[in-house]
Amino acid sequence: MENNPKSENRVLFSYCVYPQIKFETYESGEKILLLLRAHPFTQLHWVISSIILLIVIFSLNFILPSFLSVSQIFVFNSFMFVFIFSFIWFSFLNWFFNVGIVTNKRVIDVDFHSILYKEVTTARLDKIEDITVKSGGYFESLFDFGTVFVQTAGTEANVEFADIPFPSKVIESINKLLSKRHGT
Amino acid sequence: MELNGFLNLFNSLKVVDEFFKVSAVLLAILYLLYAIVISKQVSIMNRTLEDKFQYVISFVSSLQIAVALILLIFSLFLV
Repeated sequence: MENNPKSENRVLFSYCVYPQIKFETYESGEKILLLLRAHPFTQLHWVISSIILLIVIFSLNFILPSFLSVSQIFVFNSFMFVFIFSFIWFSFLNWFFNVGIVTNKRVIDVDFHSILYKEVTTARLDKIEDITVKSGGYFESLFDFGTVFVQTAGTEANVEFADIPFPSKVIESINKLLSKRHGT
Repeated sequence: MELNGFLNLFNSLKVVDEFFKVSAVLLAILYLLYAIVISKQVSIMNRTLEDKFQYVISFVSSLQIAVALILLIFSLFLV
């Protein structure tokens, strides 16, 4: 974690400039310029679900005493709170570790599908052919987030940064890197 | 048999209590397995992406295993 002159975290750590991180395939001398996660707005669904579940559990406590004993109610509540916490933790991990990384040499997409399946896609800057941004809808416009597709030449896999904040800034950064590399 | 008689028999056999206990123990064991798998996976994730929060994340994952053990103890001895 030796690089990164002035690190800056924006939109709840979903847009980090010069982040203080390292990743598995980090090459010495590689400078990490951007770390991208899905915009926090796209994660609202599990936050709301958790709150609703908590309310449901709280309400159930008014009915349960007619069926269960005090110790059973205690165990039931413990289970329910632990399950809700696990749901929150699972969703958080899913958000936190699904990242896009832009370095001075390549762009990397790290995906953990349902936490259990790991997929790391890398595209070297000299293999990048086209960058597209897809952003449409009320909330995307309001909160400025969208999906960036990085198309590569040949058989190399394409990279997709889904629902990231400031997609136009990301494209700008990658384009600057490409210009430097191609000397234009 | 009248409905009340049936309910009394049902209560005297403590079917609900036994069912509750068995379900609680099974769920606690499953949750413990889940917590262990998630903890292992979190260590893989931390290796994939190292940042300043990795110790907090590892700690919470370990805490999840501890909580799962406590749940198992509750289900075995408290119900």
